[in-house]
Amino acid sequence: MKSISVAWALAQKDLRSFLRDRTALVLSILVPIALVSVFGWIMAYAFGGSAGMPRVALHVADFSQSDKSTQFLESLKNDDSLKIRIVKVAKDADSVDQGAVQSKLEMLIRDGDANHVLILPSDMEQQLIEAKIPRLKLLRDPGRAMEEQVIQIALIQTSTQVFGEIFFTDAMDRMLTKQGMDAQSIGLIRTWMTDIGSTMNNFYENNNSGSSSVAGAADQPGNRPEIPETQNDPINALDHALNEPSSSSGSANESLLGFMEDLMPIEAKNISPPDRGKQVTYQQAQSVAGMTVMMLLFALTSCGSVLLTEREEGTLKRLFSHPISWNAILLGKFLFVLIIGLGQMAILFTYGEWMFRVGLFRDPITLFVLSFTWVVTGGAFGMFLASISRSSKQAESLASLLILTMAALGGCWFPLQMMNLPTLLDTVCKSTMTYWAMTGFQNMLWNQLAWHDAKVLQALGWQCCWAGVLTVAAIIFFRRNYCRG
Amino acid sequence: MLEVTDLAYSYGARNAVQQANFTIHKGECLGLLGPNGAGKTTTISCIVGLLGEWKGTMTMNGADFCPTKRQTDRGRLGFVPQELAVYQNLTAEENLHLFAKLHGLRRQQRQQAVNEKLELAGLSDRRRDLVGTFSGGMKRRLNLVAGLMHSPSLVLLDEPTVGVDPQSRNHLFEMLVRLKSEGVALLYTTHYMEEAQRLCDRIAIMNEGAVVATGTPNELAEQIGEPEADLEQVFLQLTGRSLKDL
Repeated sequence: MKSISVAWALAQKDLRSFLRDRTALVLSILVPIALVSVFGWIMAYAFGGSAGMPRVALHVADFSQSDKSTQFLESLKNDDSLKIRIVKVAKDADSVDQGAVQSKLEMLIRDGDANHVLILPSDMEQQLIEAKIPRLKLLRDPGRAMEEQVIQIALIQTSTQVFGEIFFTDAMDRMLTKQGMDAQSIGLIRTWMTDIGSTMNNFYENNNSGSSSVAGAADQPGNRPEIPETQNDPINALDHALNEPSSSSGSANESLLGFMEDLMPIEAKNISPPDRGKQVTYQQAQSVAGMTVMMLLFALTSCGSVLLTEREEGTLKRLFSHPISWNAILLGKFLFVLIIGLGQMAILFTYGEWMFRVGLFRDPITLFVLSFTWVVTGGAFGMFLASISRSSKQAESLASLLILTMAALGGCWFPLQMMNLPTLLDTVCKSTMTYWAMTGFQNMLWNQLAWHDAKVLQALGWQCCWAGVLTVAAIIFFRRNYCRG
Repeated sequence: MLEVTDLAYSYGARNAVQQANFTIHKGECLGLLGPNGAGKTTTISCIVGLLGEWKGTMTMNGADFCPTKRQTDRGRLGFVPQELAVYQNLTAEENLHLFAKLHGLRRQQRQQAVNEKLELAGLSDRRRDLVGTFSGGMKRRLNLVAGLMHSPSLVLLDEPTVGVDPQSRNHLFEMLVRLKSEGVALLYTTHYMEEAQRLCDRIAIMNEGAVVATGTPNELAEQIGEPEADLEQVFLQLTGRSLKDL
């Protein structure tokens, strides 16, 4: 009993102490509320929510510009899973140098402006008139397999609606041919399928007219279409074609993609920057960039709090008594943060490259420019936090709150490109410095853009703006809170 | 040497120092004696330049002295803060090298100053040890010599013996006596009577932000009309017996 009494007295003491530290109290409530709000908000758009699954962007270039292609496009636009973006092609498609246009479309993917571009061929209507399925062309970023599955499904649905019966017969022919079936057997299967169709029609017609069921009639030998015993038994072949997985498929995703590619008559062309590692996925590039950006921010913030430690230990007072300027002291701390930050980045990137082979050192100048800019920006953020905080404990709490929030909003944890963010949230995300750091690193890692590319320069520019604002704010607050003089 | 006239400083609405007047002469130790919260540390902070916007005037050797605005004026002072303001993760030698460099000493001068001050602090044999491994007394000695790297003519010491054992305190006093004998002026804040009695040539008693009396211990005793009174009695007479902590 005595132990419980002592324990309760100690707990009361800690509670009193905790409740009297107003900043800690507010942050202990504010941090979880802020994080839950931000993550709840973001996640609602990341994995569906009320708005459904996020839409996948599909760029479409209509070289046909016919009634059928327009119908196809309208049907695609009505698909809830896609966000269609029309790439303008000259009205008179014949006069267009299709090769040149396709090169530009490929550039869209290479530069990261698009992940998938669907090309509707100029002879689309003519092919349909001739009862042939037009061969659509899909330019794709091979690292975006997940999104491609959504596109394939949408294309199959649209083709079914627009092309009608011809789509299925064509798809079946191609699939069976691919499985090695000869033309004669395919013909027989077609006949057999037609007969089954007729039988089904009869069944429904008889049923509707009140006559006896023909169920089981097909089982009678006389009612079954005669199929000769050939070396390639078409029934077995069909069964094989539909049930056996493709030998080339390595994973469930690839298998599904392969099946859909067989079903959908699309000529796919992979477009990726020449230097991108073949094994790199978008998710890997996202993870390496995201974790680097976020963890470095934590490290730089903790380095920045050296200022607070010095104040708490009294060494800052001694520094101030020396014949040196306050700005020199602040600059010294900033230099320390920069050196530590660059060192950490070098270690992180070396390890990331060794582990995942994401091609980090392909363009060392761009890597350095991006890293340096982010270290400067993150360092300024760390100095700003240190300059506004009253204690290192307060700085740590503030850092956790701000960094985790900015990491979520900036796309460090999951790619924002895969979300359908409302305008307000999109603007909020784009106003974070983490967003621009991620944009820069993603453009380098995934799209293989160099530092002088407009997109990378834009990302660098925004980071520099952040760094400038934070540095000025840090100087102002440092003078106000540290230098009473 | 240093003349402080009508020094005043406020933390918001609270007047921490008001109309403080005193003078420190070359080779003299002036004790700033007062209860906790009397304004001793604030006074020293104004002189060192840690606090700005103070009122009054300060002159050194007859010339205007403003360490808040002029780095060169700060460079003429030595400062030993109350806190153990040395870097625990650096060695004694590294600490002293840093502070010497911040005072603009060149490499050779720096090395000479470091050797001298380590010798003065009795830490020559521990020069390459991390300060974190030092005893409290050793840290205090290092803290003191860290403020002397540029051989200043005036050193301000803010309660430098807090939490120090008698042996280390004695060593510190010996160091200060040696400095005095070299012509260095000392401004020494404390609330220990025996320290002030032993070390200080003159004493300025502070109370509620003001210097209420200045003089040698004997002069102060005469000021209260009790020539036989010791410093503690003088102190209590001038500052009152009630608690002064603010």
